[in-house]
Amino acid sequence: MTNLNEKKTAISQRQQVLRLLDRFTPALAFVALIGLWEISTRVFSIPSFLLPAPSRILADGFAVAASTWAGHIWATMRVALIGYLLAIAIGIPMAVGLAKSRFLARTLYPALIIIQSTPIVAVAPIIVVTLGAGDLPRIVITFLITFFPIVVSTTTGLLATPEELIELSRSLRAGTRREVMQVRLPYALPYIFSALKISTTLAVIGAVVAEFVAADKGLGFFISFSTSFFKIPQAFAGLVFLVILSMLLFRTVGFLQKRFAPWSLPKNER
Amino acid sequence: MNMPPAISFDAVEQVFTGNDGAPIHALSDLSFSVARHEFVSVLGPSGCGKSTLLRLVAGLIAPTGGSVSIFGYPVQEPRDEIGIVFQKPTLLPWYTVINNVTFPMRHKYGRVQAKDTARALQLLDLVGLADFADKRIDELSGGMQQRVGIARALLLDPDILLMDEPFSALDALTRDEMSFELLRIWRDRPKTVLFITHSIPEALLLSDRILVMSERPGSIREEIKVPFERPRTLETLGDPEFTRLANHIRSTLFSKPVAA
Repeated sequence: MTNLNEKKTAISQRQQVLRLLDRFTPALAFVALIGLWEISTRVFSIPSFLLPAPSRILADGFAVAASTWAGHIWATMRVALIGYLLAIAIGIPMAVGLAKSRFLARTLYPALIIIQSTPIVAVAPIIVVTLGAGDLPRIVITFLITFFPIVVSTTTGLLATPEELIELSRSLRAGTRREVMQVRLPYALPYIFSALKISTTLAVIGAVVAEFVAADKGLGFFISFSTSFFKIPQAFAGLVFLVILSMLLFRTVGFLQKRFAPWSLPKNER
Repeated sequence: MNMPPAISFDAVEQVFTGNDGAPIHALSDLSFSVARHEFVSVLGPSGCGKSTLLRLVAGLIAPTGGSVSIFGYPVQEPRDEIGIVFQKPTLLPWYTVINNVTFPMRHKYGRVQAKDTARALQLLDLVGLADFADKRIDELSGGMQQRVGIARALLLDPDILLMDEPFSALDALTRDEMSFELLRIWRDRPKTVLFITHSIPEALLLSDRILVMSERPGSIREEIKVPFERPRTLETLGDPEFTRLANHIRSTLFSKPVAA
């Protein structure tokens, strides 16, 4: 009997260990990868201008003053956020227009597709020349990269509203404004949020591309500046901050969705 | 003068333009009327224009020819006298049960007053969901969701209830249960009901009258008065006359008018 109980405790302990392992697998995998990277740079003595070791990136990162980092991070974040919010503020009403008006759909959609088909990276230098120095050209470039997925997804969501819900709305003679605000837009939220998530990373890309072209601040500027002086570990440190920034924006949108529109998530993600 | 019928169709024609541009003749020379507080089922093969008929009454589409009237007035746009229960529950997942029931007020007038909420609670009690008012929609079973749909259709206290195969998405057991529920609700709140279905037993159990429709272009092939006493119970289903009528309707549906 005691033997059996011991066996049971042994099994439950085993399960606990497995559960802990499962929980920390992503973190462990990450640490292992960094370790492997560190070891291989040392074992194969890879020069730091080809691939710096994580320890070197860390050290060079710390060599830059915190206030300098803060300045660059803030510059990039500001441009990315303003461009992103602008894309939402213009993209969603535009999607409503596209979904509700055949005329707008016929006139605006081709223009949108032309804009999307134009490689923004190639247009960026032109925009900088046209709009001059300052944040404006960078914000416009970020906006142009982020807003297309928002417009397309929102339009798709607005048009995916079940016909019967629209008939319900029409049978109440509620009017187009309420139909859009109370039925179509909430129905489109899952589509809108998936676009908003994709667009966070695009916003950071947009800001960095703009900084590559013309800037005196920002992580994109910092990276291109560092590489031109062959300070590759320092450029990598800038890259780390960009990844963190991107992930932070992505997570924030995910959090907002979970907090304010949990029904728009699949059941197992609520 | 007699009171005009709740619903009347006079030589209604309905022609749609199909996706390929060719005209689709959905309804042809359709005439019938439904008296106030009568329960009438429209029974027919799929694609015979049953749903078109319902949308004409609702004022969601206009007839190509002839006229549709409600209480003697031609239907020109959706009216407050009508509540619709759809094939699928068509609820809003971002609202709780109670907010789904009060949705017509919010949607039509922009606000929900305390008395509307009180009314909605009464209706939820009527459909047997008093304890579920604050639940989310996805916590409800299919049958419960359809009950919410019925409560919502009753919120503005319509004279006419249009039901478009409301139980067709439910499993057989829930479906029978819902039929008896509907009879109970109808007894408590008498309404003129136009009930679209493709289930013969459902039509026989519920209706005062059944309109059997032909294939497209839809018109009325036969009109059957259902003789059973109310309230109808499980025993009604076992009545030999029930079986006889069911067989009769079935043979009507399967016979081609040309062959007959």
